[in-house]
This record gives sequence, C-alpha cells and structure tokens, in this order.
Amino acid sequence: MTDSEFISKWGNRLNTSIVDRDAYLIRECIGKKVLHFGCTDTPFTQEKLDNGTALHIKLEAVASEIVGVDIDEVALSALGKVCQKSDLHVCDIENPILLDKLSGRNFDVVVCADVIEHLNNPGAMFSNLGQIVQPGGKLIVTTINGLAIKLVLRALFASEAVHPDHVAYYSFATLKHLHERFGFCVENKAFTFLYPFNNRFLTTIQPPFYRLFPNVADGIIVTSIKL
Amino acid sequence: MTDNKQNDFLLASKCSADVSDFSTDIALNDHKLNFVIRYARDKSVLDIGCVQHNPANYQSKYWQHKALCSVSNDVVGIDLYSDGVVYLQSLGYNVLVANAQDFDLGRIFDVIVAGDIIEHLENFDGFFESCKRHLASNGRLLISTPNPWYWKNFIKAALNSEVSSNPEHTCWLCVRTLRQLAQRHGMDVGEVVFGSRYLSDRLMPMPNGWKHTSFHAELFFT
Repeated sequence: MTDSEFISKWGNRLNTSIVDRDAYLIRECIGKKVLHFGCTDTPFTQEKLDNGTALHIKLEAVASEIVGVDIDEVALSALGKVCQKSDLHVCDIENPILLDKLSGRNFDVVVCADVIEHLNNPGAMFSNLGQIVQPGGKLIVTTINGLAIKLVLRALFASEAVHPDHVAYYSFATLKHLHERFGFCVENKAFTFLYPFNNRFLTTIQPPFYRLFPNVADGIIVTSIKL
Repeated sequence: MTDNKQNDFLLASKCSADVSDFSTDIALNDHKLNFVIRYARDKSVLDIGCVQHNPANYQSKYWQHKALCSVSNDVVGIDLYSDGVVYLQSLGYNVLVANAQDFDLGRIFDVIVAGDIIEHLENFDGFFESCKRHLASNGRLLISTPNPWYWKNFIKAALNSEVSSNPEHTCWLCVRTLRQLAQRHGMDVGEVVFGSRYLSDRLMPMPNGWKHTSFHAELFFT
C-alpha cells in the first residue's frame, strides 16, 4: 500500500489527515499573493538558510508575490540577503501599526506558521488578520499540537521540553473557537509530524502511528476563510 | 467588544448547573477550593469569573465565590456575564460586571483568584496588566486551569474526538508555559498543586501531570 493509499483509506476513516507542513503550505501558495507572518525561524534562521530548509524561501519560490513580516530584525536581515523577490517588514503581528504597513495590499493567502504559541495577545493577531484578510481570503495557521503524544509522554516522565518563548498551547478545538470569534470559518484541519526522534526505531514508526492517530501528532494546521 | 465576541465569551454561560452538586455546604476539601482558601483566609480578595458560567451555581457546594466569602469579609467578584452578576447582586453578593482582560476597580487586593479563567482569554497581556494594577506588592495571583495532559484528554484526542471541556476555551497552558507567560509580566510561579474531583483519578498510580484534571498555581511579583 502506498503512502497516498494509506492516507486516503485511514485518513478518510478518521475524518482528518496527516500531512507534511511545508509541503501543505507550498501547495496552498502556488501562484498566489502571499503574506507570511513569522517568516524567519529564530533562533535557527541562519542554520535553516544554510541547509535550505527555511520555509519562507520555499514559499517565495512558488508564490507570485510574497510579503514577509517578522519581529526579529537581525534574522530578517539575514533572510533578506537570500530572498529574490520578498518584500520584508519588521513588525509585531499584535501591533495595529501592521495595518498601516500593509494598507492597500491584497493577499490571496495569509500564512501564520508557528507564531501563535509565542504571543501574549493572540486576539490582537486575529483582530489584525481580520482586517488584512479580505472576505473570502484564506488564512492558514500552524502551531504545535497541545495534545501531542510527545508532550503527554514528556509530562509522564516529568521532562517537559518547552521552547523558552512559548506561552500557550493550542488544540484544534481551541484554535477553531479563536478563529470563529474573529470571523473566520474553518474549512480544513490537518495534523503534521515535524520532529524526528533521536531513536531510529521511534523515528521509523512515527509516520504510520500518526496516520492511525493523527490527532496526537506534533503539529496542527488550520485553514480558514474570512467571512 | 463586538456582539459576536460577547456572545462567544458567554457561550458557556448557557451551560446548565449540575443539580447534584447543590448543597448548603461548601466542599472545603475540594482541591480547587482548598487551594484558594489557604491563600484567601482573612485577606482582601478579588474573584475573577465569579458567576462560574451559570448563576444557579451559587447553590453548588463547589461554588468558589461562596467558599471565598466563608473565609474573608472583603471579597469582590467580577464577571462578564451581566445577567449572572445582577442575579448574584440580588442575593447580596458584592459582585460587578467587568472584563477579565481589561478592568479597573480603583483598589488593591491581597489575593486575586482567577479560577478557570485564563484558558478563556485571547489577551493575556490585558489580563496580567489588569491583575497587576489591583494586586498588593506582596499579594498573590492564584490561577487554576485545565491540565492539557490529563489522561482522558489524551485518550479522547487519540480516538479522534474534539477535546474541549468548554465551548469557549481558547488555549491550554501547562506549568512551564504559565511560568514563561508570568515571567514576561514580572511575575513568577510559586506553589503548584494538581487536583481532580474524581476519586478514580486520584487513586490512579500515575504521575500528577497525567492523572489530574487541572492544576492551580500561586503567582507573585518578582
């Protein structure tokens, strides 16, 4: 059975899907006017630029136009040296100044990849997005899955590993509530596996396990439409 | 606040009260009440989210505001649910309509209790800054929130159910993320207590971070 056959059979049965985050985002951005929030990968920006895994570069390669926004000026400068056609801005996604910087711009797709878990005020982000995304426009939010089995197992062994800049976790239900509170209608959810284990056996069994139990995978992708 | 948002915040207020919990007693041995009462005794106390979804909950032995009033003579409650607040006022409670993310009562409290509130919020900055304005320099902010890694949540998630105990929850916090959030606002986490109302959970031979439905944390100024 091929991967796509497996996902088709089990994914449909479970009414959800497991996808590769970057591949999913790239597919959604092909030929589109894209706004990418959190476009650097601080503190790993240079490392990802060097090894070719920086998400923004992948999106830039397929988008017709792309604007990148990030709060990290140094990382944004490093990214700017590599980008071909990106319009990059230093700005806080929670700050209303963002609206001035992007005024008059229209986007087909707005991507917030692994940003929300860093924010003190996710409501301000959604409020800004509510004005940036046009009715019918697409918003894609990705984040760590708060109910991921890896987090649960680490809690069991009291060895929770939390990024020093993360201040909250989100599950699909909580993300859906936030989207709806700010006028976005969720049209698709997907789960992703992001991080390999140090152990080769666990890394091998990870993909089939997550295909059977996608809701406890590493990450969540929520795609919504502005009403 | 838009009508949509206001309605969303109040979704859970349509939750019916659990009649089986109604009693004239106060469940002082309950993990949540026991935690807040230890800090609130004989102190001035602000109780955020005092209606607890449904004003009929004033009859519940688990109603936090009644428990706080039983150990302190100076308890003020606030809640966004205006009908619930008006009802509690008619019963003689000192409660006001206010938004947990932006309130100004013009006074200082020794203890602020935010029981199962933070997971409803979209603006942690507004909540922490409002609390800090009302908290004495040596005061304590007590936060209770559901444990994301409670074993039943994980089982539900694995079996493809939507895990959300309440229709207005917007996030999950663990002890580490709560600490990092507090540190951004000049506070830190002291005592942390996990707890569950289910005897079966409490008896399970599993770590606290798995077997308990929620945890309670003491926050203070650094």
